[in-house]
Amino acid sequence: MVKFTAEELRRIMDKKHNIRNMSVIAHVDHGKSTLTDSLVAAAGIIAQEVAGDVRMTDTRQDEAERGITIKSTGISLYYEMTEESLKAFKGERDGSEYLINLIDSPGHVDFSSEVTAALRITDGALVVVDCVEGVCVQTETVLRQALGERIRPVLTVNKMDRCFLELQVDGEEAYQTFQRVIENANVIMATYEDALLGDVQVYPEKGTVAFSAGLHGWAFTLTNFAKMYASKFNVDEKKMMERLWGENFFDPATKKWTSKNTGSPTCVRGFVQFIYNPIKQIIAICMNDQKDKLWPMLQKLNVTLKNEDKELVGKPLMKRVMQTWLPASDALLEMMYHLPSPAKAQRYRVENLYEGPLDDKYAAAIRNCDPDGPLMLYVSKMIPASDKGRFFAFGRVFAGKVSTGLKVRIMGPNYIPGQKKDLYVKSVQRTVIWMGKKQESVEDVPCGNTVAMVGLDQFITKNATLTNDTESDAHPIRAMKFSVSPVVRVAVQCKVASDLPKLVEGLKRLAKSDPMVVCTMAESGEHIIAGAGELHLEICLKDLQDDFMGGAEIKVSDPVVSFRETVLERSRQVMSKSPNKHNRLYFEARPLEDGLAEAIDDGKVGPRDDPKVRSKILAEEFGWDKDLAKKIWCFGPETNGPNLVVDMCKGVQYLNEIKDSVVAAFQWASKEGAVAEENMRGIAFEVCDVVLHTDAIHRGGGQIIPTARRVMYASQLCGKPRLLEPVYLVEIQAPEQALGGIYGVLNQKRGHVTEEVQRPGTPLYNVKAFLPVIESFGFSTELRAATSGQAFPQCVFDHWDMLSSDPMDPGTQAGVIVAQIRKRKGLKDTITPLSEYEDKL
Amino acid sequence: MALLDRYEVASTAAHIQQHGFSRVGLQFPDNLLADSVAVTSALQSACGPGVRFFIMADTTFGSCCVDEVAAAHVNADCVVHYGPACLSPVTNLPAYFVFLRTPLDINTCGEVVADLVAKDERLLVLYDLEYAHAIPELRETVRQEAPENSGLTFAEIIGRELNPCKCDKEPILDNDEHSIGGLKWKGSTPTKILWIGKEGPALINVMLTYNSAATVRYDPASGEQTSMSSQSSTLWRRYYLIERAKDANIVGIVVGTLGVAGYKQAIQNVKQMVKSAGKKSYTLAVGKPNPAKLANFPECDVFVLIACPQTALVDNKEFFAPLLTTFEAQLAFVRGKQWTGSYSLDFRDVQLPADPQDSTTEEEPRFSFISGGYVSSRTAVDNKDEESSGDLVLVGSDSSSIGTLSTVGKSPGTRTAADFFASRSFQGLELEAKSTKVSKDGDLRAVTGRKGRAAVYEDEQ
Repeated sequence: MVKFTAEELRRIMDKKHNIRNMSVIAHVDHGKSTLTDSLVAAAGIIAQEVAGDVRMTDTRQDEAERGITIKSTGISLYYEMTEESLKAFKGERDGSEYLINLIDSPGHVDFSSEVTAALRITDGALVVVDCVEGVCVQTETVLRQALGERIRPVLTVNKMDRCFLELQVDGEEAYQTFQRVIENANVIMATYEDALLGDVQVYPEKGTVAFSAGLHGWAFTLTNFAKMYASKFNVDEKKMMERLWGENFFDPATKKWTSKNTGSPTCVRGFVQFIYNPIKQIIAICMNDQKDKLWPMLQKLNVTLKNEDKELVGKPLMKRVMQTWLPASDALLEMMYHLPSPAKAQRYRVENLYEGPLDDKYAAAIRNCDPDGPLMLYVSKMIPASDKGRFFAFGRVFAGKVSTGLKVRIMGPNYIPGQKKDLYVKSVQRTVIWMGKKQESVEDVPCGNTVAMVGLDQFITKNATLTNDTESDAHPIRAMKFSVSPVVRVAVQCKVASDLPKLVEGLKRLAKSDPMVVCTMAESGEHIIAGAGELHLEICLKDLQDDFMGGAEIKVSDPVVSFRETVLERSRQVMSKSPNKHNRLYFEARPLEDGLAEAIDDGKVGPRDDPKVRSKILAEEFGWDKDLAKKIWCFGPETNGPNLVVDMCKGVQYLNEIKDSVVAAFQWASKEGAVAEENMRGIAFEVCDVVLHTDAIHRGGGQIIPTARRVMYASQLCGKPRLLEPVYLVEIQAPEQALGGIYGVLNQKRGHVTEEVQRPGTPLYNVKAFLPVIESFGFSTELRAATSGQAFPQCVFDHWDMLSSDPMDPGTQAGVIVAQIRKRKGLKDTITPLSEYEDKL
Repeated sequence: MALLDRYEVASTAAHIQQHGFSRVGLQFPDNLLADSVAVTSALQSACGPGVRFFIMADTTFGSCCVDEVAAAHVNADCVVHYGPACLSPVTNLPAYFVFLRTPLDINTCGEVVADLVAKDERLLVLYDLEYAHAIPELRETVRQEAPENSGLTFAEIIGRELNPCKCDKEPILDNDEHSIGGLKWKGSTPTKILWIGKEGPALINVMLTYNSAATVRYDPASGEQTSMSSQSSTLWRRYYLIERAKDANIVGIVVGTLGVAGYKQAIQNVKQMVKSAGKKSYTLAVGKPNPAKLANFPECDVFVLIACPQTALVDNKEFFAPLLTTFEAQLAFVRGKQWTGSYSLDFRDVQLPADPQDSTTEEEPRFSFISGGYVSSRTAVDNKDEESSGDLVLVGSDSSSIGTLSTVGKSPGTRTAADFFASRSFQGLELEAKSTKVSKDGDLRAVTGRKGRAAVYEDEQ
């Protein structure tokens, strides 16, 4: 570890070319945190005063218990490049000192919002892939996210020790496995190439791929070996690198390199001959305690062990030898220089980051990473501070400097330039940087760095853009887009009624502390917490009770799943009369075309589209009549939901007068459907005919709004109403013998398998299945029980699926669900009959 | 004459003559209207020709309150109120209440009370006013059986006649004195209540106000005893509505009484609260509120109903926007107020915060549980720019006339009714030529309209 004072650290922060902001991303359990730990152990910056402190990545207790990362943690590393490697470095630099801000993020899909927040404030990513399991679903998701943010990746093939110890595969087979892992990653990366970012694929021969064994603390890139052999064979280092990967074979018998396997029994791939086999040999020697063979070999490799280490035997000896020979930190830190500095990265990232015009001075300041420009700072998350109830606003300075006492404009996520909404001006009380676990106040923090600020927490929910007080023309930095959504909800209540203020306060804090969790209230007055998955919710509830409510007890309901209401077929024409009986509305309800609801969800079709564009899409992709597409009155609920009102009337008088009232009624009705007051989805309401009183006073909002709502309910009930339930896409990785158990649990939970493939080169199978969210609670526990802990599922919301049974019939499955929902919401037991909504002439 | 006895004609006549009233309004609820003629003629013959009686029916607001406006129409100097009453204080006219005695079986009821007292040390007995006449007798009966039980309290009626209240404020009660729905008693907050009578708004009022007390209802008509389920689900529902009201920008203050003393002050209080919360309020008088009437004001995000305790609570999902009571409005609009479990339906319990100015310094955003995030709370400072909202209207209508406002539905930026109006797609009679698009063939001639009754026009027959 490196001991520093705050002043020294602050000094390096000014060197914008020598900073690397990097996140570590991977699938769950591929070894991010272990790898990070070995980096921190070697290069972590700690405050001078706390030199004795050992454990840097002091994790939350629950993280340790579960063995997974829950919150992303940031650590600063200091690395001094060697003269040798600096020679190869072409980019701009400022001395040989490097500051690396590393963010270790969680791998479980439930916490991928933490990853999103980490990616926003970094420029590079270390992608960790288990060499046996390969590129998994979450690797792919986070990698796509990183590339979407224009984050340059480097790759490490991790858990090499498994190859040598557990699987004992031979060199060629191992090479093929590694090659496949890298290829799989490159396939994803290739799709994100663009002119500014350049080639983002990774190549071992270019030094952007490392091979590591995080658990044993060793790693290498081809550079290590190339250097060694270059002097030995007297060839150029670069050329040697190329020979150590790919289709380059060496025959020790002839001492010749070929680009094809000659078929001779001694002809071996360069990688195997010069890298894999030597490592294998050393490991074998260590494990077998053949110390007489070991010492000469180590001498040849220039590895000297400490005397006390020489006493070790077996695995500990092997670990120590490998750590000394190929220290993980060196190999990984050396890869950092392939990552862009803030100065370099912001040049192309500005397009992704800045919402405003790219030619204004704010864009320019971000682009140039200009410490003297206007402040542009993005707060990516709120970190609970040690004093209860307060939060640090944590984020990245993209331009300018943020200093203690600076007056800043806080632009919230709903801020619209030129308006006053979600805009505050406040002073930063303190700017803080982390040195290990210790927070140190600093005078200011320049662009390119991460920073924590005190005194802004009352004004920021989760994210915000900060700029100088005077810069009123600045646009905010684009909001983050999350790959998961909060679909699992529970209701919480306090056990003791007088704890209610505590609960309210706790929920506010919880909402702040997690980028994804949503705290709302149900119509019944229950407090609702929504999270990305069961595990996420569990962690949130624990935080709420223990940290944010001071241990006050809470009651938690069973998970609540929200459904959607839709119609199966076109209804007949129904009519409702206004309360004064002087107006009549004739409506029909019909299901939207396949895919249209999803298109509305994705924003492909929406209320703000140019009507011409919208009608073109609707006509070409969904077979709508062109004129009709122009007669969409509105979307709903919330004015952008996946339901529509379409005007089908011809020559109706005063129709324009009631449009607002119908729209208001539709927003209301589509939010609370007739069956169970759940949101509607995929229903088009057609206004077929309208008879209005000639006297304006008799056709006002008071007459039309309730009537339009009734007629929509009537038409919904006539169109064979159905419930839609949310469905997860589950991905499970497990060995063959566990498949039986997986299928058993899936069948029992109404899941169905869509895909089952064996991962080439591994005994593992990849199973993809659809699983109704309502059945998913306890799914991972049951799955683990059924497969003796070998299967670990990852669930992501995928789509809405229709329950085929009739919800109007209390005997069916859908009917039972409706009864439950109605009971929970405190509604009448039975669905209001059609006769309440429909009138007769 | 059972009828005359039930309507207490003799004592009513005595009361009128004693005070020398000459024009008396007789207020009947709709279900008793059938008896009105008989009662009036009986009173007339009892009082002689010097007194004129007027029958008042179809009350403007709740029939439990004295309809002072209707009485003023006939220039009455006294109102006799028949049927269930809330005994809310009156503003201008003295009132005399006839509760329509209903017989109570003293013995069975006494047993019920004794039983409960034996189980629980402390019991408060409350009742529908129609049983008030039998309560002293009941008390005596119980006392004989269980002499001097300090835990048993019978509420007393506050009086059969009400005189206009001089002061706006409630007469200050002693700490241990309680009063609700025309009943009063001395003692601490009850933990167990026996209610003698029907289910209805009076009982709901009691149960919400003393929501921590267990309530048992004894129905003298059927002789059944039921333990009432707690009102907590109602309270939680109200809690949600309060939270929703916090997010409201435009508040409609619905005047639900023109008689209960202090209603003007209550309206002023609510207006003041709404204003200091940075919201806009509009005062509406629509008589008895119903969904169709209030849906004529779609710009209001929430309504506050100012009415007597027995009519103030309206929870009907048919309403386009929720109706809050004054107490709830206070929780929603006064910053720093938090719901602690107590509840009141009486608007006279709601006082303005001592220093309404201190809220103006707050500019912290507020966490909204409806949207799940922070929302800016507007301050009085912001309000000043909008005092010149005349401009806003002009700007609004301009932009919509050139058709830039294509979105409908209420945007969150709608702060005033003028904003809302500007965002509507239809804004009244359109004088420009383009508005006459009704007939597409360009035929703009005036045509003959429909004839007949609105329900069924001639051409529909």
